[in-house]
Amino acid sequence: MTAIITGKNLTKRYGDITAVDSVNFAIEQGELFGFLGPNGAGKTTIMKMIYCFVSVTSGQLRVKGMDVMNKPRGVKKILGVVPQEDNLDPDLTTYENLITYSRYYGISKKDAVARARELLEFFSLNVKNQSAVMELSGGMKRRLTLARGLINDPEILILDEPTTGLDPQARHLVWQKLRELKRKGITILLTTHYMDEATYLCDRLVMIDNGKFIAEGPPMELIRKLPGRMVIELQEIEGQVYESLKPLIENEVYEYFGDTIYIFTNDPKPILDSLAEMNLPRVIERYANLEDLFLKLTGRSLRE
Amino acid sequence: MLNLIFPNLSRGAFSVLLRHRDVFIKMWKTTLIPPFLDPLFYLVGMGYGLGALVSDIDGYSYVQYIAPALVSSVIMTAPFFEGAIGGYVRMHYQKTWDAMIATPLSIEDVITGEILYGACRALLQAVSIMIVIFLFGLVKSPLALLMPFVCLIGGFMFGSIAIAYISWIPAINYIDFLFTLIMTPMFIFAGTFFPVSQLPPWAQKVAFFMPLYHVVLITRSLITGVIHPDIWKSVIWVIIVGSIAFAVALRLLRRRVVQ
Ligand SMILES: Nc1ncnc2c1ncn2[C@@H]1O[C@H](COP(=O)(O)OP(=O)(O)OP(=O)(O)O)[C@@H](O)[C@H]1O
Ligand SMILES: [Mg+2]
Repeated sequence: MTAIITGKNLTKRYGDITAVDSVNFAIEQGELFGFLGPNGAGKTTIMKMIYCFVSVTSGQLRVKGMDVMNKPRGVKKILGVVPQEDNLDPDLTTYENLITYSRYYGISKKDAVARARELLEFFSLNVKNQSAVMELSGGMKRRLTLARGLINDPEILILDEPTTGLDPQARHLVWQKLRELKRKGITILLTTHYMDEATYLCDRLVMIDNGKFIAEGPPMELIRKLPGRMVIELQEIEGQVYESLKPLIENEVYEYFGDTIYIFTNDPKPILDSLAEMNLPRVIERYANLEDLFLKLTGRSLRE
Repeated sequence: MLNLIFPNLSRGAFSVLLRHRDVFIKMWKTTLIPPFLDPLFYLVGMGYGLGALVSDIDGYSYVQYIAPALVSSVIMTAPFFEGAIGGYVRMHYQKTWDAMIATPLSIEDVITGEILYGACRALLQAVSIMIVIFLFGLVKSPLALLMPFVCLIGGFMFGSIAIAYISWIPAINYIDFLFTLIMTPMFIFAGTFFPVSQLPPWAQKVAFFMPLYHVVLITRSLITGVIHPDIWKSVIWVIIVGSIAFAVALRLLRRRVVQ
């Protein structure tokens, strides 16, 4: 395997804000690589540096051997970009958006028409062919932005929250399409706030907080780092109840936040048995997941 | 050669121009007709109405005097409106530029496409008005056939000025200053509706620095066939100021858009 995107001590500052703080990564060709992190962590900034939208403050960033600061045209030629905020051309129709965009890549009209048809089909947008962008629903716009990102047959696809705001059907459609694209050998970079999505899709991922990587690896491996395979959630627990429960769970790994106690364990049965007579309002037993790790590493409080 | 002076500029600018052309064709009723009617009202109202009360100027009837000025004025207003308002909307609200520069296009290509489009709008509207004044018998010389060239260099200059202007304004309503402090004074004082010789000497000097003054001088020469002795100076003036405004626009916009 060869790395197609490499960042070395990559740093981005906006004035006093350090959005990306000396991170190192190597994304393999054909890999589906995820960037996770709370709001303001620096995910979008990393993506923007890759597609040469913001400059690199220090460190090095190479795409297929090309330095993004010196060869932006060469880099952007092999990328497909789906930005976090939709920026479809509102003055054009669905179809025209694709054709016009293909011209920016210098694609011939004939190829563009064929490609646009194919992509509209691929993303089930055929019926909305002649619709103005304004008339599309949020999910359709997102799919059109995805189609647009593929118009130049990119080697690398950059997806900044591609499924935010999509209904489950559309989300599954997008996942299926991404797996199809991956099979074709396209390298995919993905940011998402959906941990299930990251778990299903990503070969590897990094978790970012305050511009720094705080965890990296394949999702299942990361989940195994948690102190237990299972989680017991005791919900709607008031302060006093918590005090009275404390002796029962003192030997377990747990966390109390808001109104919920999270107990991590490999063997939930004895714990549940011991809690049975407490008559707790809501007890949930489930598998530990990426979200648990995410919250554990980044803390449960909201980001400003 | 242009690549040596503007290393980030490429032929991609034309793909931006084509995008604007496509949108223009879709909306031609709103993009072409109002700006074309505007000068027509001036021509009829001021030229024939007011003109009946005004004595000849430099040997021209009043309507003959202002007809070339009306052609010149759209060479200014078309790229000003398109570059400032259209440009700002595409840059700030629609994020059209953001989408473009995620492709191999550079911000310089995008800006150049905008400015070229402004120049084309100037050409189109000026030619429409010339057809009208021709029908009124106000085009006196075949030299008027050189006008498309004047429209393009003039439109390029005004488009560059408008685009450079939006690079440093914090909000869209600041465009009003461009219109009231720059466009309107030029429209009135740049030798359009009366000769600058009517102005006090200091104001005549100011008028000389108005880009529109030179465009009017060239246009009036070509349309009436009475060539002003300073026409070459004005042509060179427009080309130099246009080039400077263009270079400034490219620089300022890169700073604004690419952080
Ligand atoms: N243009 C900008 N000027 C100044 N600061 C910026 C700019 N863009 C981003 N930032 C700051 O950089 C930091 C990282 O922002 P970024 O958009 O990369 O976060 P993110 O991880 O994508 O967040 P989200 O999940 O909300 O999309 C934030 O503190 C943000 O406020
Ligand atoms: Mg983001």
